[in-house]
Amino acid sequence: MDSLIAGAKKEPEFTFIAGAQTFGGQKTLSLLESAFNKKFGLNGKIRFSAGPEMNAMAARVITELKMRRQSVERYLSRLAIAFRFVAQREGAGHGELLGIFPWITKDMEIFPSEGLLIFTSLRGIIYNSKLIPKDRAPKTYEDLVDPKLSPAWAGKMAIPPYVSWLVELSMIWSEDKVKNFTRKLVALSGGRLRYSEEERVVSGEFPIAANMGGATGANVAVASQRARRCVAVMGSTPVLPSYFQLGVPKNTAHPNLSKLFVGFMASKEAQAILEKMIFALRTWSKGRSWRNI
Amino acid sequence: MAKYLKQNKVQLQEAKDSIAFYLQGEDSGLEFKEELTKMLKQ
Repeated sequence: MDSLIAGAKKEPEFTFIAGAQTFGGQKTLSLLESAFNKKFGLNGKIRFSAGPEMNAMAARVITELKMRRQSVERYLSRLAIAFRFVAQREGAGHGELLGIFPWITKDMEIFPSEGLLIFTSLRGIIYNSKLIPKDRAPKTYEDLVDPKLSPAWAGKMAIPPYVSWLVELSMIWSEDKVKNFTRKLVALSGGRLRYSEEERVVSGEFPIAANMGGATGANVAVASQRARRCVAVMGSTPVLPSYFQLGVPKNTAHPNLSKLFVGFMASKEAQAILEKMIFALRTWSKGRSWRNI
Repeated sequence: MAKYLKQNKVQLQEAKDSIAFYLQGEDSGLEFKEELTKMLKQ
């Protein structure tokens, strides 16, 4: 780790690309930057840049690697699926971290040396409890299209513009059931909401969102600020979570700082910030891994 | 979060299963994805 720190001191800044609110936005990044510098005695600057959606980002990294261009991204922070896609095809990853950082354990890597699991985000339904009473609220995704319950949000329900959560539902439902559900869902929808736009449910613009990334985080964080107007419901069993990993493109301009930062993000200090700011599932928990929680 | 999962007995889809499913379906599941995409655009 000493050689990484020594190398990182010669790399004064790096760009961190992620979704606008994936890591809690600029405020969280500032806290992470301070804690990172404090932990390793650095004075590095994190330049945060909101990136495109995960598949576009994966394609961009692959293109840069193929063209042997130096990557403008120092990190690839995306869902496990896109991450695996890049790692399998072009060899992006974080290299060997086990043994360098004492707090990193094997079960923090879904696939060894490809990406380090930083947090797990639960997806689910969120609704405004002032507009939909609890006894009329959905308890599962199926309830969203239930003719007895759905009149309360017909024509007003927000649905995500993404298809991936529906595709993933076919892990637990048949494809026909997913298609049937989607048809009904679209017919009842009143607009599209991206993940992290839960404020528009809190404000009452939409009474309900059919699926929201980080739903439990949204529930706690937003509800505590807004008189508990926003309630989250896990729509399926098992819950289909988003596994967020960090890694470093092989063509990064700042390999030492990058690797150090990836390792840092799994540390107690970084995980405490993420838990506080975005209610993420910690990858460490007093010796228990996220798998055993 | 760990407390939340424990208290609510929330079961999570395993990461490896989830990723394997997605990658397997990358070619064979294209038609299904396209169909869903079309439905969402309506």
